[in-house]
Amino acid sequence: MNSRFYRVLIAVIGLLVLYWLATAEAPRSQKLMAASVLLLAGLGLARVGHRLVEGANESADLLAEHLIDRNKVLEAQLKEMEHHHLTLEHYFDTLMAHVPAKIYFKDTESRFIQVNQSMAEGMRRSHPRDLYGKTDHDFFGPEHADQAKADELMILRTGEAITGLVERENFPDGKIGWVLTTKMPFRDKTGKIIGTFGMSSDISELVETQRSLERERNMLRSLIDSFPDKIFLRDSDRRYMVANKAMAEWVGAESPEVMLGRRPEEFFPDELVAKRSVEEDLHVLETGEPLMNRESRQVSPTTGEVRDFITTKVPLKDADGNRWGMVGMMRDVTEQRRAREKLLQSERRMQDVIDNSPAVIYLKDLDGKYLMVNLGFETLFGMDRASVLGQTDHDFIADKNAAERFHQHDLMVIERDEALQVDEELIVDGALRTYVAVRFPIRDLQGKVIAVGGISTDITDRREAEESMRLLNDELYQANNNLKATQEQLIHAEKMESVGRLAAGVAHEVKNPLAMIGMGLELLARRIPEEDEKGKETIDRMKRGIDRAKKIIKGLVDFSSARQLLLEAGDVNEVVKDALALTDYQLRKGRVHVVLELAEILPPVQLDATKMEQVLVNLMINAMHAMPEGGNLVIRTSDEVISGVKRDEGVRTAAHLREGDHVVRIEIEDNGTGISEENMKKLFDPFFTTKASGTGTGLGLAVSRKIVDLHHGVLALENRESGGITASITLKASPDSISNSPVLPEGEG
Amino acid sequence: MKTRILIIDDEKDFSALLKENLEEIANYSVRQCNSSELALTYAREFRPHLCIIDVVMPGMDGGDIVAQLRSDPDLKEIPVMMLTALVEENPDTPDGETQTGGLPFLSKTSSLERLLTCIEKHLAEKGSKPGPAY
Repeated sequence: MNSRFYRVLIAVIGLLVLYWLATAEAPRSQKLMAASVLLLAGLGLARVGHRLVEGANESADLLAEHLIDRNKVLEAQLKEMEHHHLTLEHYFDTLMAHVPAKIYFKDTESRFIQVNQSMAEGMRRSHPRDLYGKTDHDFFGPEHADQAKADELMILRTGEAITGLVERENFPDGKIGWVLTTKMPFRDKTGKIIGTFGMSSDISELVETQRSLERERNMLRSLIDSFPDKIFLRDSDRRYMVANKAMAEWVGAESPEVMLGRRPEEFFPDELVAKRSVEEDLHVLETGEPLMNRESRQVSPTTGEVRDFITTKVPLKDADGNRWGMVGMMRDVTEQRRAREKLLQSERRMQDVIDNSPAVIYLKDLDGKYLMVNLGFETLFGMDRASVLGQTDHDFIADKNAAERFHQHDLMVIERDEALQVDEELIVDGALRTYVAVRFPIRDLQGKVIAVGGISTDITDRREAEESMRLLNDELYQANNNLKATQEQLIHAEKMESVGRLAAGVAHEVKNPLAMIGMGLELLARRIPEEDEKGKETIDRMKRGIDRAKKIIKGLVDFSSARQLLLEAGDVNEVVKDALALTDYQLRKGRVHVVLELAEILPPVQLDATKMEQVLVNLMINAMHAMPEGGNLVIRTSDEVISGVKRDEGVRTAAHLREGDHVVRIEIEDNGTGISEENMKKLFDPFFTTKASGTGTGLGLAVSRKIVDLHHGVLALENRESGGITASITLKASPDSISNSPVLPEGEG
Repeated sequence: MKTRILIIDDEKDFSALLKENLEEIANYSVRQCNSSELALTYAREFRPHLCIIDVVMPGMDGGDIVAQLRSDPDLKEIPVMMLTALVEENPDTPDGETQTGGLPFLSKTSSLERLLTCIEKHLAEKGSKPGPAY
């Protein structure tokens, strides 16, 4: 037995103690006590052994001394070991007591054999020993417990550790969290697996933070990927650090990730675009000035389509202010630009349309300030639109009343919320112009009135044209009436002319045989014996017949030959008196009482006194015949200025006499039988007579009218209300200059 | 010697009656010519003291005949009277005659009495210088 043996013995005991310490399911104090006992026992044994050896080998004192020395050494060593052990134990205890991670040791049956304080607390136990001998199933639900058991069985079987396992855990306190677990086989000195041990840390917070970061990252990613704008982030070396989906799609990259670490030149085939991109990037990086809303047009690297963009690039700085990259965004504004161009084009087109309208067109806001005017407006007011916009009518229309009227019209439109058509007047270049203005409300998309529009058309010329048209129309109407009158006159004249020619022809042809008969009668009269009374009477009757025929012929010839007058300024009263002298005898014989109502002074009249006398005699004899039993004949002369001759009063009146003419009138009134309406129409026709056969020729009034016509006068007959007839001759009073020239009928004059 | 009167008128019946009346009442020697074309021949042959001429006749009218008479030196002094249905008796003269263009016009329907008055008047004016009779 030498010292080596003792050392080995002691070491074996020590290890046994340690092993026991580590494995025994006993309280630590017990363990320590047991360890001390064991150690002392070991030492005792060793001493006993030593003494036994000493006793047996007393002879070997030297050896004994040596052994004693050796023992001292051993004791020292033991002490040292003890100290070391105690130190280790302290470490272990400290570790187990304070490490926040949960540490456990389990036997092969998954029973806890050692846990630390944290583990115990985590299990809501005050002391680690409360767990010894128990399994996970005593604390956790089957889900976790079964999984733990399975893990441990796996380790026991394979000897392989499970490291870095992140597990979701339902904590006994009800919380759900995450733990980072390492499970390892627990081996004895010989390497035999005698259980498992493990450590788990509560990483709930870490996991939560990580998950939240993850979520945030995903959210941001989704966000930038969901942007239609092309977003990218490049480092100072101009390599992509971030690119969103839209960016990748634009350059034709499979995914945003493909772009990372690469430069834009690799994706933009257009050299100019690439070159500009480089320049811009460098500028932003070097100067730190952001590039804002730069407009550009690019050809799509994938489809070749031309698109418009606005690009913004902003430098990125670290905490120290160093520029380490840039973030950029390209916004596709093609549609907006097209829409804007379309709108501009549409506006332009609209402006062209309204500018080319001859009308004056304008738009005002609710305060009456002009928002838009057309070329017609500029021309009318002699102002360009720039100086009109923002102004109101009161600002530049000199005629304040007109400006106020326009304003009132606008207010009416706003108030009624409906279009208004109104005539408006405005003095332009000193002349009053009339416009027909249509003013209408302009509404926003919600239907609210936001402005007033107006279209004014100058209708001055039209109005004037309408007026002159109306006048022309009136004149035309009058001319037409005159023409009609003239035509009727012409027809009548033509008729009379024909009758006249016929009469002249008949007269000539009839006069010859009449003359023959006359000559024959002269001859026969001398052959009839003195005593043949009957024969003489017959001859006389025949001669009277010839006289009658001669009278008729004379009337016809008068009628047909009455074409020329010898006009002289004469006094109508004198003519009346002469005519009366010629008929005086006959009238008295017919018991006609003549009442003369002659004007004291009459203006002279151009007349053929003989012919006019013939007319008057004719009318007087007619009047007498209308009063077979006698009566009153009133002969009246007067003068007047014609007023209010109606257009349709009668052809004759309209033809010869006009309003304002100074006329002399002769009226011959009887109180006889009057004339029927039917006869009134035929009164002036040749051969029309109401007298008994042989009394009249039927030519008297026809000739009379012809004569009066030649005087450019009017002969009219009308029934008096009190009975009888008024025959009137109206002649124009002579103007100052007196014409003696014969007057041929020349139609209307 | 009887006063010779030449009537130029295409109306045979009228001129025959007139001729008889004049010859009976005034004892004139009257000849009638019923064709205006023969008027000049009749005048030359008959050498009338006065011609009574109708106006409206077929062929030459009364005016033409007067012009022919006036252009013949032997006949131009013969007084003429136009007796025509074209004119009416003039109420302004006692015998109803109308002077137009230097010629007296008398209505054909004038009475025989008036006609004679006029004939006598014109015979007296001209002093009645009949041309030579054959």
